[in-house]
Amino acid sequence: MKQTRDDKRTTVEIRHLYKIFGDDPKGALAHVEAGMSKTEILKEHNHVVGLNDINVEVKDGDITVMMGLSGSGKSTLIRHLNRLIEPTAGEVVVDGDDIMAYGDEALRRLRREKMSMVFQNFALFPHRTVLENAALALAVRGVKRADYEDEARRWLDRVGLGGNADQYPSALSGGMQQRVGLARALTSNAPIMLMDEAFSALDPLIRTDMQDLLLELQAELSKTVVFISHDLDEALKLADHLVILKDGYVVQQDEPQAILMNPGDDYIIDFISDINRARVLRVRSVMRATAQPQPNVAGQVHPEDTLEKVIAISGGETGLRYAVTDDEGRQVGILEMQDLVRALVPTGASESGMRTRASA
Amino acid sequence: MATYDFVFDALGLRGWCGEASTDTDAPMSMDELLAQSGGGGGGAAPAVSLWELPFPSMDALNDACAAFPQSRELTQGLERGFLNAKDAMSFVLDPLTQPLSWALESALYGILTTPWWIVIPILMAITWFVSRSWGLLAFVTLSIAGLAFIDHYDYAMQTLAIIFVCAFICVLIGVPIGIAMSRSDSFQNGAIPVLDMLQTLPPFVYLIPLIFLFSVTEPKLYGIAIILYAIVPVIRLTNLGIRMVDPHVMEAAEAFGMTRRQKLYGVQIPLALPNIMAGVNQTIMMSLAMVVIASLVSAPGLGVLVLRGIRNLELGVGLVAGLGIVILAVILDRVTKASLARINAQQKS
Amino acid sequence: MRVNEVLVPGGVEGWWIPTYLAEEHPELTTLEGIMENPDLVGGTFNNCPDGWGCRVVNDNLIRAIDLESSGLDVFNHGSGETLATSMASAYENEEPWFGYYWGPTVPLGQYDMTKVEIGEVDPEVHARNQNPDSDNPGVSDFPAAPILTSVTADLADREPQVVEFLGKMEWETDTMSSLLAWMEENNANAEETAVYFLRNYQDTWSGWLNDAARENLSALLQQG
Ligand SMILES: Nc1ncnc2c1ncn2[C@@H]1O[C@H](COP(=O)(O)OP(=O)(O)OP(=O)(O)O)[C@@H](O)[C@H]1O
Ligand SMILES: [Mg+2]
Repeated sequence: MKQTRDDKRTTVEIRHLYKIFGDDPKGALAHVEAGMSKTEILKEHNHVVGLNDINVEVKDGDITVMMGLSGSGKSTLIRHLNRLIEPTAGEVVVDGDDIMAYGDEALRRLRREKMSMVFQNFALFPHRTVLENAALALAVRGVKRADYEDEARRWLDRVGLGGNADQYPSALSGGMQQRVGLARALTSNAPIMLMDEAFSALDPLIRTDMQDLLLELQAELSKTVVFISHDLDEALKLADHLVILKDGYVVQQDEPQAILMNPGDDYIIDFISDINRARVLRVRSVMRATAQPQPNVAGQVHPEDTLEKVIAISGGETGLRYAVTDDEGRQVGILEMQDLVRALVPTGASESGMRTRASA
Repeated sequence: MATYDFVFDALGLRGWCGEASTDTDAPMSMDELLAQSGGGGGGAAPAVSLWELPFPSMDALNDACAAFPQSRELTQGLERGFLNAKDAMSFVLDPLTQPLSWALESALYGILTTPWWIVIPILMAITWFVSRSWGLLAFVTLSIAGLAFIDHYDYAMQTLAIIFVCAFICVLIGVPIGIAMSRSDSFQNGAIPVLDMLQTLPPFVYLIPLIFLFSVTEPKLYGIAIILYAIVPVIRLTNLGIRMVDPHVMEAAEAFGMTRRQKLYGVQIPLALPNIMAGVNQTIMMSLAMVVIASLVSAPGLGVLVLRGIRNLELGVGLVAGLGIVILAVILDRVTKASLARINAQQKS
Repeated sequence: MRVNEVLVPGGVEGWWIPTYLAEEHPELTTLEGIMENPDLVGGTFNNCPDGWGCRVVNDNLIRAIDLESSGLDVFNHGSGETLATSMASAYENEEPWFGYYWGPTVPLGQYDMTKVEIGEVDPEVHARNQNPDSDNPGVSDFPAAPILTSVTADLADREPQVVEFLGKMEWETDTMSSLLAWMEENNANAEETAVYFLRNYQDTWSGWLNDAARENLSALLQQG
């Protein structure tokens, strides 16, 4: 049986985190806590609310994706995890330690040993070779070139850049540069990896490649990944846990399938309305969980199969019924094709008719 | 008697003004003398039309009231103030700047006592080392040989020695100042007006206090004059270069736990190096530009010949020496630019 | 058109030391004395800037007497200003100083300097010393230089009276120097110095004027 979220250790916990930009953040904080909106605060007090009471638990070995539109506070949030930005209020707890209490030295150790980071714009050192860039984390810790070279080459090979070790970053394409960025984060061997829109600057095809590479590496390494994205498809593909941000607050956070099936409010409904549900929804989200064998099953499907795949198997026939069996061949549920078809219609839309685009 | 009498009369300050003294030793102008002799009775000043109304300057007010200071007393006061502070200043500054004198003296001594067949190859080696360009090497060699051929070798080497020492010290002091400026906005805001002043103040103006502060026979006198003038670009461009380092790269350095030192030496200086080198190039050019002025405070070298040319209207002497300075300028410019290009190529490749 | 030699005895130039130094060490008033005790004069000879006539003469003299063999350094000043400042600051601090200077000038009026005897004045040798490429420079002191009042022939035609006055006008070098020094001390301008001169040096100027003019001027000054 798959581990549930509650069984997993919490690696990073964000508690009541606020970030307000402006001359007097503490003063503005009182207004935020009193419930003033981001627009009001900006208009009346000339402060920007970056983050508003964020509470998120990042579980060990998960890919936690934070997503939201531009300006929703994603970059601000992820930079609090290694304190590149200081909060106005709140705590960030990493492995049980409140890192807000850290001094310079402890903070540096956190950044060197526990967390590595991949940036949207790569942020490679232009004056160092690909190899030296990949080995940055080790060099910062004082490891000599002779000692770090093997390790750095190993990770460069792993991301497919074995042959480019002695080139300078400017000689590489964007996709290759981000592979270096990934290798740099991996070479640090830190258990937590922060990725701020790591693939957003890449062409769609290369982006898919990189996503696959990340999943492949993740299957192997089981890092705790915090991934920022503004692309829902990417978020759904990568996320074990999805946090949706808007104007600096968390609108909804849950397992992606759960958000798709039970969107929390109109904002989310609107947000998810454009995706291809058949491709992202999985059998386990639509099936009726039961170990009881049922008659007239047309075949067996896997709980992690996408609905798209089941539709293909069924040949478009809507009256069928499938048994859902796990890796060991045990039945975990029953999938009615009718339920499947119903699930393809966005939940909120049928009920409230609130889809802005449809009504426009 | 004078236009602004009414000001003092109205303010009831007539008594304070007192009568013009009759002390024969006190300076007296021709007008005053004539006015006195015109004497006694009808001393009413001819009415001044509005058109000719003088600005109420210190001197005009002094006409009306002898106790009011003349503007020359302002300059005198400044001078006295400086002279009073002078001893304390030279007590601090003299030992502090002494190494500059030593450096200049030994550089001048070294470059003139070392035979030319050692000095010229050393210069060639430096050229090759920084530029790796055969063409430039040939150009430098021919230029120096040419200067030596027309018997300007000693003068050119003196100038070169002075510039090496001054430019080196400019870099030594200027780069840290530039770094400090890049780190603190308030320091930057305070330093920029000073830099502007150093660049716009005619060099002669700061030569005056320097002459008062130090013995005029000390080489540091011209050393400081050159450095004050030439240090500005290296400071400015170091500051600029570091501030222009991609903030994303700095953020990555921060995120991987680099210390301030690691960031400075590992990221900021290497990335600012093209700018810093451009500053060094400018600094060298500006030291060279100061060479003639420095010769007025006894700097040896080609500047002396230029001055001789000017003083005696010996056109030829001045022209040849001027040409020598231009040749040195071209050499120094090319060599520093070549090394700059090499740094750039390295970062871009 | 030459009218008169305005200064008596004329411009002086030469090598000088401060008088207090001469009083303390009388032997320093001769070149031999200085060359025997280079340290007493500060070890340096303050030479003229390049491009000045005196520089050529000094360089030749230095060669002729082999000044540097005594251990004295020759410091070539870059400008008249630094030469004057070096003398002034040495004088103010009562330090030794040895170098070239000329008068009538502000510094020579202001500072009490004693001339160092270089030797006899030999016009022929001096003339040789004025040639920068001289083969055999000799030892000769500086002769006094005539300082002339000259006018254009045109002026002489137009204003014979003024020219006659100028023809009589002459004063001593010392007077000139002390006037310059007064001017410097009081920060006065040329006009104020002229008034000072008129009021304090009547003996000097009374000989220059005809009787009528003299009376006019005295009356004018008397009223003051
Ligand atoms: N240094 C700052 N000063 C003032 N306001 C800031 C600052 N940094 C961010 N903000 C504001 O905070 C909000 C969140 O910014 P943030 O960069 O975190 O958004 P984001 O979700 O990462 O957007 P994007 O997708 O464009 O990167 C924005 O409204 C932004 O204007
Ligand atoms: Mg962002």
